[in-house]
Amino acid sequence: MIAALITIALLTAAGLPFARALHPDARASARTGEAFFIGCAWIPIAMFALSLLHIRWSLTSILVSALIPALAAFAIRRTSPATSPKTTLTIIDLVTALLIVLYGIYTTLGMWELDFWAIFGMKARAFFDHGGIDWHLLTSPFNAFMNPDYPLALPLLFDVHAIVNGAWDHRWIGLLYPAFTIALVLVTRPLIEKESNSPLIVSAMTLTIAALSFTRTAGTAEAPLVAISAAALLLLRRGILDDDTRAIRTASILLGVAAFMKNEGIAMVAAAFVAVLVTTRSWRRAAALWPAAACAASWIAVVRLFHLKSQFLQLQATHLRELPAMARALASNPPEHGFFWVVALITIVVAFREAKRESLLGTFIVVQLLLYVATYLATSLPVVWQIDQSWTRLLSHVAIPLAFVAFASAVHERK
Amino acid sequence: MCVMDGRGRRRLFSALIALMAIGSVNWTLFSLPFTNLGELRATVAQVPDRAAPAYPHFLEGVRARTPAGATIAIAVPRPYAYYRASYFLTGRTLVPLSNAKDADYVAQWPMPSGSPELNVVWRGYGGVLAKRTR
Repeated sequence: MIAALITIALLTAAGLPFARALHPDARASARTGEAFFIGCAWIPIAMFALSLLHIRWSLTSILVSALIPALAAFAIRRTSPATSPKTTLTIIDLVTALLIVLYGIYTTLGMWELDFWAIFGMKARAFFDHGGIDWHLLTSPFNAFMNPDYPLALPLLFDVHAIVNGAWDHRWIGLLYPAFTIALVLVTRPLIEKESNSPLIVSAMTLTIAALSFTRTAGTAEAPLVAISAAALLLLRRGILDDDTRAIRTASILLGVAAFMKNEGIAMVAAAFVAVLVTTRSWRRAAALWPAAACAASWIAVVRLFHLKSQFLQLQATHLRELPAMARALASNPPEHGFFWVVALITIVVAFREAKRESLLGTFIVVQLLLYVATYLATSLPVVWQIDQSWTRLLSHVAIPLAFVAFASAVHERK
Repeated sequence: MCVMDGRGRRRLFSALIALMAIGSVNWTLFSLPFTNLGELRATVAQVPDRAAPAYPHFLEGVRARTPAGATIAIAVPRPYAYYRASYFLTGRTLVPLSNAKDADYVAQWPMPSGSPELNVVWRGYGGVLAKRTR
């Protein structure tokens, strides 16, 4: 457990100089959450570079390659006082804190999910044994099942824990998962407080966001993707509303971090670009997402350069004739937290006048889901089977943006 | 859209926000403190191998008896078992049985019938590890 806590501290420390440079006027707690997310990309980037240079991973090599360059970001730090007022805690926040602790107990029960031991955990363990990224493993024709084209940030985070621990032990990797939730809460709490001055309402929304970031399948990339992308999108929304360049820049970086977690994060960059363009009708605003696009493009380049094959995509529409069956499959796989979805959608309908103003998040949700459906059309696997396996999980990617649309609409209708 | 005014509207939207929070929580988490976590952990550990509880022990035995870098042909009845072997046998190169000619070892599970070109290194947990003679 100590190794997991040190890993979380290390990731936060690595991201802190960047968070301070990017978003100096953010509340210190929010910057800490942003720092953890940025560290979750920065340290894997450093490990990737070490691998390319054939330098074996060790605590020393990671510290030197990740922390020392990060400290250079202090040189461009601009100090501004935090402008947000102090947060008011309520009894609901106690419930949220308790829930996160219980979630931590759950995620450290063990890694049972196939996607952990056949994909993310397996790669991490193999890389740990290898002392770096094992390209032979990723390019072997017998290993297509492990999705070699998936971004590597998550396995590399698991490896940071193994290196700190000195041995592979998958149980305490689970502690990273509540850390993602805590970082999400730290980043989004000030954004929620900007919408409502009712402490109970703010706490209720914090609870909603925290709970929706939980995963039943610790060891997979779902929860990191959900947490980081949600933080990015809500920060992006606030940045555009306030014309806050620093917030937009930070959101763009966080969106790039999400792209390093899973392929769906790359689609999120595209969906966010379309959403910003539709909402602001400004190419300049959409172009502000270039850091996110650069992150996504860099991983696509790695996939091409190293010939990492996709198990799923043939990039040709092969299932157009199966559209009716696809529609039935989509309808028969409802989202997790069905009651939440029903209430959120009812709220949006009842407060539709205000909900129309949430075009950024609304457009993002629609475009992201359309991209998923388009991907189904090109899958090399039986499409109905794939929908049955994934649609519920994919819907969880947009649950927090949906919750925020409903929440923001409701609080403004409430006024 | 909403025809209510004043207090009624405030109550309605406060209730909807509260219901969203209630609906987003997985309330079964609150049962964890009243559960025997040791037993639960043991149950969770068995989830991937419910159909073949001995298989991970066999793979651990193979790992202990093969050097890092060895190529091992995996002869198992289902793709699932091949994926599972990949997690336990990291640091080795795994190939399917069809590519056994390139392998240093053959790990077969369940126990196969004998093969003249194989030197058995270890038998255990229902499987056998053999070294290929070249």
